[in-house]
Amino acid sequence: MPLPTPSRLARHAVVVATIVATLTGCNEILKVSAPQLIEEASLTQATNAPVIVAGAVGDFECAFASYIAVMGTVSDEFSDSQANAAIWDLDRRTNFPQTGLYSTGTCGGFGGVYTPVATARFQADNAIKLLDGWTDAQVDTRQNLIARMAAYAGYSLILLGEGFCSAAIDLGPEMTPAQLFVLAEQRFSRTLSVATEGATGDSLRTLARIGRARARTDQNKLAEADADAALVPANFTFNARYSSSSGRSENRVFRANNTNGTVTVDATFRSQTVGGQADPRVPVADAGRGGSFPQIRLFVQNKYSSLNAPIPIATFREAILIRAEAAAAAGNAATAVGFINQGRTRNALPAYASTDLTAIRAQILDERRRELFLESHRLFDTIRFAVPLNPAPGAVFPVGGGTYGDNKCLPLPDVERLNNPTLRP
Amino acid sequence: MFTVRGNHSVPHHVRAIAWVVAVAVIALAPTTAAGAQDAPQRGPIAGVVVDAQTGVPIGNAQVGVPSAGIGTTTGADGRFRLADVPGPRATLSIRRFGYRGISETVAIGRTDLRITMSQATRVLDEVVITGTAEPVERRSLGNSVTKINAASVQQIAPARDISSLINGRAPGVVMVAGSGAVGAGPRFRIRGSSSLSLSDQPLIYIDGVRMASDVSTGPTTQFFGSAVVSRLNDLNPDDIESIEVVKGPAAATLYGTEANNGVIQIITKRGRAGRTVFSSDFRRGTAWFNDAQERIGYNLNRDPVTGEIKRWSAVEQEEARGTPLFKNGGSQAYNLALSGGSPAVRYQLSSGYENSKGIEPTNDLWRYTGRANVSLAVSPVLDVNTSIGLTQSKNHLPLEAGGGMWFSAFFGQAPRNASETLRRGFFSAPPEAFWNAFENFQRVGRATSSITISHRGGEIFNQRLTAGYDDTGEDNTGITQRMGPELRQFFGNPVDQNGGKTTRRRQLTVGSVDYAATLKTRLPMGMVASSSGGAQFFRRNTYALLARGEGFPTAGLTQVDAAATTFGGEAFITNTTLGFYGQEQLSFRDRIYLTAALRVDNNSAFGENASWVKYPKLSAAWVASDEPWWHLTAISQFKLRAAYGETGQQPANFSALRTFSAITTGSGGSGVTPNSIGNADLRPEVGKETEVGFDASLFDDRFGVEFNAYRRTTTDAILAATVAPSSGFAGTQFTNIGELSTRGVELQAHGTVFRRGGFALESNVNISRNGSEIKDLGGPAFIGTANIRQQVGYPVGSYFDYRVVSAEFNANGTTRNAMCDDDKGGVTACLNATGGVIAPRVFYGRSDPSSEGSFSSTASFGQRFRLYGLVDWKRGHTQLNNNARVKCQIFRLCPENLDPLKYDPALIAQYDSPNLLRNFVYADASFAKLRELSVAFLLPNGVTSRAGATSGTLTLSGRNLHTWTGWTGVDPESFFTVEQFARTEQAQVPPLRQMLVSLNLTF
Repeated sequence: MPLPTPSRLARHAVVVATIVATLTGCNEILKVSAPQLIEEASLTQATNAPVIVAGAVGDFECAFASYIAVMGTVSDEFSDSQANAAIWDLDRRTNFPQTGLYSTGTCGGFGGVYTPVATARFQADNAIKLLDGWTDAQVDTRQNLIARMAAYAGYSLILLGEGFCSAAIDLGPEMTPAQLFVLAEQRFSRTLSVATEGATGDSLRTLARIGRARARTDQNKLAEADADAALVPANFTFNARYSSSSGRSENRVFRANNTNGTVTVDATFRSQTVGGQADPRVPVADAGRGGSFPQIRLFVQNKYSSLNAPIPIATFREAILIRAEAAAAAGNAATAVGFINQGRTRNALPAYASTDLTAIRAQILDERRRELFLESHRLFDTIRFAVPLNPAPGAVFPVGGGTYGDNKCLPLPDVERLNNPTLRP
Repeated sequence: MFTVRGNHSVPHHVRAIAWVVAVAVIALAPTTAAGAQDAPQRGPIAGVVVDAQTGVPIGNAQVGVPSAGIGTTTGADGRFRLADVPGPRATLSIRRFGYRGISETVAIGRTDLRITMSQATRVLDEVVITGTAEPVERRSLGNSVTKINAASVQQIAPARDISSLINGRAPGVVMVAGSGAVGAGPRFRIRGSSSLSLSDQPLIYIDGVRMASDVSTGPTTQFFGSAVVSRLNDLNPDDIESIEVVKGPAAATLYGTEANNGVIQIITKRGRAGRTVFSSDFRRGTAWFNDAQERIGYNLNRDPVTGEIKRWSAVEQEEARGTPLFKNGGSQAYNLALSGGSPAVRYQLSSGYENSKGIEPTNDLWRYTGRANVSLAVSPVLDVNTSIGLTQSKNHLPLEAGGGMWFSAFFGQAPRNASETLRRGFFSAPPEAFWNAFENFQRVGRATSSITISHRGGEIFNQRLTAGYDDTGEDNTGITQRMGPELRQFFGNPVDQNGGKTTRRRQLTVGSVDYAATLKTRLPMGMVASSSGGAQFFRRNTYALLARGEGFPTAGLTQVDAAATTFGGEAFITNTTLGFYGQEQLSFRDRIYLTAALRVDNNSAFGENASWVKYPKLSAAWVASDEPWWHLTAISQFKLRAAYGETGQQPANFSALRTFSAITTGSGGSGVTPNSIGNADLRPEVGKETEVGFDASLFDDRFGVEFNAYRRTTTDAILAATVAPSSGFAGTQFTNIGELSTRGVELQAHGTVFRRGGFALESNVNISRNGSEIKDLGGPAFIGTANIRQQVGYPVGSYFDYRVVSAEFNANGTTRNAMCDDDKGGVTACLNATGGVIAPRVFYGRSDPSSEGSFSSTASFGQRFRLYGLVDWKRGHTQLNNNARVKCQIFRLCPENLDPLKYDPALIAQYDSPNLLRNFVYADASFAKLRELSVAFLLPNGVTSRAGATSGTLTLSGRNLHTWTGWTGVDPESFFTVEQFARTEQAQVPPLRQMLVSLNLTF
């Protein structure tokens, strides 16, 4: 067959061109959907305010439980009972900026703390920004939603300041704990200023008062802290809620200790007594089995009874211990002892008696250690009260290799320093 | 220095197989000799023509006696018959395209002739279909295409999976193994790493349509997120005719986006016109963990009471108590195929069954495959080729690496107390506890279909439309039985004790539509222009469904609904690509070929600010040996070629979008949490490659040589840059900020080394070298906070870690003053006063081999025996021996832990550090393996005819028979399969030594 002439060529070219042109018109077929993903543009509508706020609450609850489990291990509430060497850094106090677990881990597993708390802080502040841009007409109970988010932002900032040697927010500069506590105070003040009258507003205001008292205590502004704590009604408790319906909504303390045996209650928190009487504030039991690392005996906390058990964020119990601390700092021993005994009486424990302010201050630390067991306070208490590290740095880490380090606070992780454009070297 | 791993013990069953083969050979020998008979003066000549290397019958060969003017062609079964040939002797002439013609004088009356033909290595005459608009001869290509004759390989050394077919047979194509468990499949990497963050896997096509070839799928059995199954291994290697590999942008431009890692095209067998041929293949084999005790080693500890040092080996202990830790894994496979047809309708129908067992009870695989390929010649100008492939399989996988029996066996120790005695020293539980408590498996149903309509408008206009659909359903299941007391004593976690089940179902579908048309025009001065155009559309959907149940109220329950608490999840991901291309090729007197092409693509994963991307291509080929002045008779064919081309690599799905995802709050309500920070400017990576090389046929077509040199640059390289958590988002952000280059050379040579009388030696050698370098990271000198770092000036995926060079002992055997390499030629303190590392990380090596290759030979003895062997090697890469780290640094079970003062303090200082200092785990992982060895016996007619067969082959083959390596871990091919760069060996199933007996009969 002869090769084609130019006219036949043209005919063929038209056929090809038609096919190509037809397909070109099908650009629509490139469009795809992502039904399981929520795009930012479709989310940030006023009608979605409740779900945005719920997300911020959920992120805080997840971060909070993870913080307690992890920082309880970094301090002395828990010790390690599993065989994954990457997790040993927490209990061994060998967390360095390059250490991955505490910095990039999520709150749905064990070990992540910087990223979950940073996310919770962003979520709350971002929700405030969005709510500020909408009107009361657009969003029901907008003021209380702002008040709630401000309180959660405040608590997130407290966790960043108490747990980390420094931190950053919104890709900004490195901030000291003191700077973070100032920001936390501001958030709590916002809550106090916008919460409306009524039960919800009252509850949020009390939450913010305890939060601000904590932030002020952290800054050693004890008189101002006392002023906030004094307004907390008796028996007040504001809880983070948990549910076994998904991994990240579980009570991660119960998961890590009672269920998975990743950590065991440290020996220093077992068999606690007051005057020979078992201390109900530190309920710990021998699980009768090994932990995740079978060679290590598992001791479980019974403060939280299930994966659904709530964890207190702010309590009257904490408020009276803040007041005790403030009274002791002001030289008022009797008042301080009175606050201590308020807590003891609530638990039917023998009364404490002393007039020695140094002893009272030490007793306040011990009361906090017991009363606020696994409630997120212990790590920063050991920093504030300069509690000696136990075991001492350099002691052999019994679970695996290496020796104990001297972490108290966790360093600003490399994941922040190397990827934050403000901090990048 | 290399050491040799010998075969110290051969299991009984292997000896039995060898014995059976020997007996068969002896029994058949007299039959072989019975063929000789006196020749009449006039009579018939008949026989079969077979491939010299594989023994496969050759159809369509022209057989004749020129002096008598008599001739015929062989049928599909290779058989021929010439009647009434004058004698007493005649000289037969046998010719076939692709083979070296031969003449042979035979006696009249011989009807049992077996004539072997060697393949001609006229490299330029071979037709390839990959990377071109239409099937073309190699002579017109400006780039290289590697072709593997899979059918031949299966005849010589039957492979259990596609991966084994490819490994060692295509220069530049590196198989990255991972686990030796039955059902596990490797990754492939072509010409090194071309991306910093995106998939490194090539595109896989089967009969012109894309197929899902995901690696590291299945239940997470290696822990740390690593699964071991490759979808590529769903295919039955016996269904494959050939495999073509194009290796980079210069050759793969017409595939556009996603082709940056190269393209592998699998072509399945199709029927040939002629009488119906029925073939069967029966295989039995075994696999075992050779030298297990020696390779796993002993763990030491000190008796806490007596102070005595005790030695423990799981393998030795279990052998002594009569419960061997590992068993021999048997395998059986049966393949049946029917092919034939008329010139108008041809068919190839096949089915296969495989049942393989691993070396522990929780590892096995059964797989059914079926294939129906039908070719219709609808008219002289219209062909329709259809194919349907089906797979059903179930694959149980063992827990390895970070848990299960493997971890417990690798890191146990002599019992020191009652609970350790109960576990017989195993780390967390004895093996039978794992095997009884946990079950992990993948069930797969897969159907891949394609139709190709080819229209030939004579020599001037050809067009082709291919459409296909690949549909894979995976159920990845993990079941934990509700435990009775016999198991609860070992597994304390209540979630484990109460049992549960997780099933992750993935439905993967890939739809392909591919149209191509070529128009040829004769131009002045002996030029011919080929104008091609085409369009392609692909859509890939992944639908994922999760069902999880925790807490079975009673034993024996295995359904999610039977659990006390149930969870669910659902996700749908889709990706589409639409592309067009045009190509113009000019040929000058069939000697010089110039090609220019342009591909334009859009992909749904591009950012909203990025759209159509253009990929150009230019190539030239010059068949110098066809020039009139060419007088180098030793070089019968010689082509020089050069090509430049671009392709792309799409970003991950939806990575351009800023998204949130739903969460459940503690109150049970719904909320949202940041998911992905997104990048609206995200574009594909662009690979630009220049390739030059030559193809040659030497010494009367006895040898073929192909050489390539290439340089590839990836621009707009996408980095998965870690997001600072203070932004509110976590994870990574894909950003186009990098540039990297790879370069290398490849050599492939094959041919008949020696042939005399009945002996022939044919050999094949592949050698490739590859180097990569990161050129730019958009500012930072390096990316990565762990030991795998992308650093400007270094190879992609390099190891950087601290290097302890000296230390001092304290009196008690602990260390002080550890000094590290300061990366400036000096030393610096490794740690600060608080134990933090202050020394810099220094370069340890690259994770990819810098060179790899293979050498194979087939020796044919007479007409019936063939001996085949293949050695492959990889060199120049570094791996992590995490077995040593876990054993010595974490659990302290090594001699150095018990008596540190006898050892180098620089090593002990690493053990003493909190797992931060670990240069002892890095080692060169170069190795060479005797990968395949087989002996084949072509059964005499007298034997095959008794079974009604026309030909038959009995083959005994072995795999992974020897390893030469300096690697001190268990095996240099064991590591987590999920890792793209790092290679970390830790308590995995190594590649197993295998023996296989195969009987192939053709009827």
